[in-house]
Amino acid sequence: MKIEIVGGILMTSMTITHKGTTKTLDNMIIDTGSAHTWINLDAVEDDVDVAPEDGDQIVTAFGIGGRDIAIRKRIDRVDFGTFRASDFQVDFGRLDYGISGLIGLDLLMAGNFVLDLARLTLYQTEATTE
Amino acid sequence: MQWSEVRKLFPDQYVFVEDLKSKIEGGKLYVEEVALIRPLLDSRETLEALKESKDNRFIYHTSNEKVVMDVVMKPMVRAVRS
Repeated sequence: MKIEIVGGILMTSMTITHKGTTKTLDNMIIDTGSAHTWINLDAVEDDVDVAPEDGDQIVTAFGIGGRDIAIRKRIDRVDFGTFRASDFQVDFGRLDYGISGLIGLDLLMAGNFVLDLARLTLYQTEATTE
Repeated sequence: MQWSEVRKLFPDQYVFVEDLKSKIEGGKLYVEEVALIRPLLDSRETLEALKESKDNRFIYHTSNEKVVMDVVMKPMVRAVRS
């Protein structure tokens, strides 16, 4: 899968499917410094039903600008390159404008991804599904 | 108000509340006292309240006996602005 450098950071796209709706998110940052995959609520709320449900976890995010709240949901399917994960846990919350989200180490490791910065590609060492 | 009181008044639904007293222990935030902002009647209202959640205000489902949240670091993007 091709990745791009935009504004000095690694960008790619990812597709989520939830409750029968599929949406491809561009401007997803590959972030090995992030434990969890995080999606900007603004980028999906108009198209995908991500309204909080009983059973979703509420998480608190601390950082610059105070405390934020995010919702941790199990998404029916995440397609990322050749990798497909079912019932994958994603945090939905606030993020900088213009960025759809962060692909965290949870997804990168689940898919056994190799990041080739010389060729700007991302690939799986072996096909895995979770 | 104690969380148990909120649960009695609004069973099995999301509510929008404010954290009045909480502590962090072992990477989790335990909220002990809350002030009710409003009960949330449907998924649209719940989503709106989630977007309004900031600082001490948050949504939570009353099916939970206690208010316990994982604490994470806020994502930060350090891109070069063009």
